[in-house]
Amino acid sequence: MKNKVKLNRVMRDLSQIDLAEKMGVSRQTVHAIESGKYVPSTVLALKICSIFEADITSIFELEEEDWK
Amino acid sequence: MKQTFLFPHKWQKIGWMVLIPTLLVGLLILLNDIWNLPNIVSVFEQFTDLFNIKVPQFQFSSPFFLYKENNLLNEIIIFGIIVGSTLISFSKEKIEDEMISNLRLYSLMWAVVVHFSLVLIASLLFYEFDYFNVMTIQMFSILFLFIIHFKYQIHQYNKSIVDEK
Repeated sequence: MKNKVKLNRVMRDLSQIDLAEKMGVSRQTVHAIESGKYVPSTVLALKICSIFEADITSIFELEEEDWK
Repeated sequence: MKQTFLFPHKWQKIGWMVLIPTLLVGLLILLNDIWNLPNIVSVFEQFTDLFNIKVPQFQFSSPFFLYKENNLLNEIIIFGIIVGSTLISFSKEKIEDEMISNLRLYSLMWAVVVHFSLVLIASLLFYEFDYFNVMTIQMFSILFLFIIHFKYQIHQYNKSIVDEK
């Protein structure tokens, strides 16, 4: 699953630590989500959307391999 | 998010403090083969010698319940290693979030698979007393494998952040 978390974070001038604090997770988790190493749960994905005040499909996008 | 029960983070330090000395003493004993230390205490031994053969110790009303002379060092080492590694394995990380929980689960699964693979391999390669020695180590290996894999995974995540800087 692709995501635009990093883009949204940078646009809002937030550091990884700021976002991690808002989400209630570690900085490693934010980094792992941004780099695509970790796919967040629905709860965490909705938290991210809530922080960015954005629609979920504008941040997270399914890839072809997610359907396999 | 609902989380499974884990010990508080500071208990992890206690785990290391218990594990390291007991592991070193345990390895020292195992490598030097000095199991036959002098007996210092009488311990309660349950369900032993069901047929009551060669039991010189005091028999307590029933053949199932016996007291036996023993050295407590082995038991202290076993307790130390198991309690220590359990505290390290199942104490919260500084920030215990869902990614850490996922890593924990993945590492636990990995440790179980590797542990039982090693048990199978050992069953084919070692016999008699060598097998007993290998089994002694494998008694603890599932927790060791878990700790090594879990900490390595966390280290890799931390390293990837540093690399990106």
